[in-house]
Amino acid sequence: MTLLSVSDLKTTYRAGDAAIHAVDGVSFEISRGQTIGLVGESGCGKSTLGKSIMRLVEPSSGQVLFDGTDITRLSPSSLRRQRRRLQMVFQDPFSSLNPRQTVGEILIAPLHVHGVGKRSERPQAVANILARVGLPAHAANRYPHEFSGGQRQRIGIARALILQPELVICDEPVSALDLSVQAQILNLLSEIKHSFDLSLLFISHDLSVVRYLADHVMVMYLGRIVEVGSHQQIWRNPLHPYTRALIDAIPDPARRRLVTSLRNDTADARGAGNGCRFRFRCPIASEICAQREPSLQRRADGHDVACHHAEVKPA
Amino acid sequence: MNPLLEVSHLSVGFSTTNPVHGLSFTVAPAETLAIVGESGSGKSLTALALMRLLPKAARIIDGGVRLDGEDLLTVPEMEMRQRRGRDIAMIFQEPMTSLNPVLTIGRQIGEVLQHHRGLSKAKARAESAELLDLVRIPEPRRCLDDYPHQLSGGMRQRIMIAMAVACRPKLLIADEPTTALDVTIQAQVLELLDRLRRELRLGLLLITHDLGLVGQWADRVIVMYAGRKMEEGSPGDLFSNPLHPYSRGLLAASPRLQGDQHYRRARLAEIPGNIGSALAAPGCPFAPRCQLRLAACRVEFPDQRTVALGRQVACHAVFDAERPSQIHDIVVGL
Repeated sequence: MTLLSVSDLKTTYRAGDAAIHAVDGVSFEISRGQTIGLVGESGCGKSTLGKSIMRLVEPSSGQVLFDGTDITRLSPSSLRRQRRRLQMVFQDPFSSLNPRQTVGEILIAPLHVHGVGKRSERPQAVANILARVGLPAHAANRYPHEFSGGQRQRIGIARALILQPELVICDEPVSALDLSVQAQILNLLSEIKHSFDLSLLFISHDLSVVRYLADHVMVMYLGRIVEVGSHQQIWRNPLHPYTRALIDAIPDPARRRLVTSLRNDTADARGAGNGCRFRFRCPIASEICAQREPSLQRRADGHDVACHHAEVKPA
Repeated sequence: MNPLLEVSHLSVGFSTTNPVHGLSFTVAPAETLAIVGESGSGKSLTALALMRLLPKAARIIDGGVRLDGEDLLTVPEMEMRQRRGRDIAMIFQEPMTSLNPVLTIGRQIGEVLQHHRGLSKAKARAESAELLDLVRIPEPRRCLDDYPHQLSGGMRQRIMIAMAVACRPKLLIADEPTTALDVTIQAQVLELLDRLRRELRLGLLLITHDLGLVGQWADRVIVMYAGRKMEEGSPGDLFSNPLHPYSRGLLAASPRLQGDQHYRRARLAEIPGNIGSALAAPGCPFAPRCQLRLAACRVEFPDQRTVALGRQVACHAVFDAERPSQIHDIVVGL
């Protein structure tokens, strides 16, 4: 059953006279209980997409249907009611927690804002959620700086979960963490996903993390989704040349000193005109790629790709 | 072959802590040695100690650093300034903050050449263009007049590399050189560093937290934890047969190296706790997180023991005959 349905979403930033189309016509769906991974490099618009769904950044056009309600059209008060069901975990566990509040105050605030439960029951709710994310009950009396990066990310996750949301958007939740701690947080996300029956939108630049945690993967390049497929489809049979480049770029001990790099390194949608915005870096671009931007097409096996040459495999 | 760089028993201290402790390693000419570790492992501080660029509060307490047989720690500071860039150079994680935003690229590279090699302005400019060509910057002459903000992150890191190799140093230290870059750019920059290593016969000290990168680019690897060397070996040996419980934990926890694992089927292996718990305790700093911990681990840091050519490990449990572990079997089998 579809929980979130995004259609033709666009978010534009103004920089002086220039308009930057950070999200440029994105459509996708998330079913209940599904984890969707969103990968792309810096500047591709993946964080803006996450924030646009939450309306932390106002989208310029398009629809975000959450359980049938169009979030983009809600008044501030109705939006707040919906946000209870829709929460976010941020990348940086240092800057996303107020240093002057205790962990208890940070976690109880969403309950106050949304008027959840009786005042007297709220401390117990805080204690429960702390236990759930693997922190001791006395953590509630401490301040964020007293915790390590991994523990702070647990606090961020607890804050998102305390309202018992249905969808959680995780924006690079493990990128700031050391490897040994990253595995702890990925396991925690996997556990809470099961026990809270959550849907997750998991945003990351790191394909290997997405590979582990996602049922479906979307690949984003300069504001557009260029490929969507199941975990299996993306890893076993990547179709877009950009997806293939991302997979090839994962450092691999099995490939000693061998790399296949993309051409150029500037990612800029300006100058792409009507053509494919990836063509300047693409190893298989041809004339048609300069003339017409490919749209996302669904293949028979339900694997979506936006490329004129999706069937062409490089040698 | 004599080592290019020989570090012996290096310890770096702040007033109360010892973030690098008794570290020894060598780098051969034209070899890539990777130091891999998480934050707090002391890997970056080690690099700064080699450059003698430690922050004011830190100092070298013990140990020696020899470059081409010569003791770098006793060189007077004025002369050390000449050595940096000429004999030993370094590039950093963030290429934007390492470049001066108000000077053109040509001016910044030119300064290095004028200062170290006494070239005239015109000669420095011509050679700067050659250096940009060496690091594969398209249209090098035009790039000389660009300011750093006009370039992408990958291009800026290429500029840093060009400046670092301008005086043909023998050793290049690269501290997380690709961490701030996108994955598709990372590969290009490492490819460049590796080509320079071969063409200029640079010793390359690659400092990173990324195990995959180590496996792909390093000739030898040192695994550091809380200021100590835990294990050393070739990437092949280390990945196929990690000995130290920390190395084993890191490899198992890495989704990148665990191929087809998926959350619906299996949990990732975790190393419990965090590195913070390691500070100031006696014995092995990994002991509080270690599943194979023995009584001795809390008392004394184990000696580095050589288990095969170029293969060292510092762990009581690995050699514990009383409690035959899987690891013990491997060591005995070597």
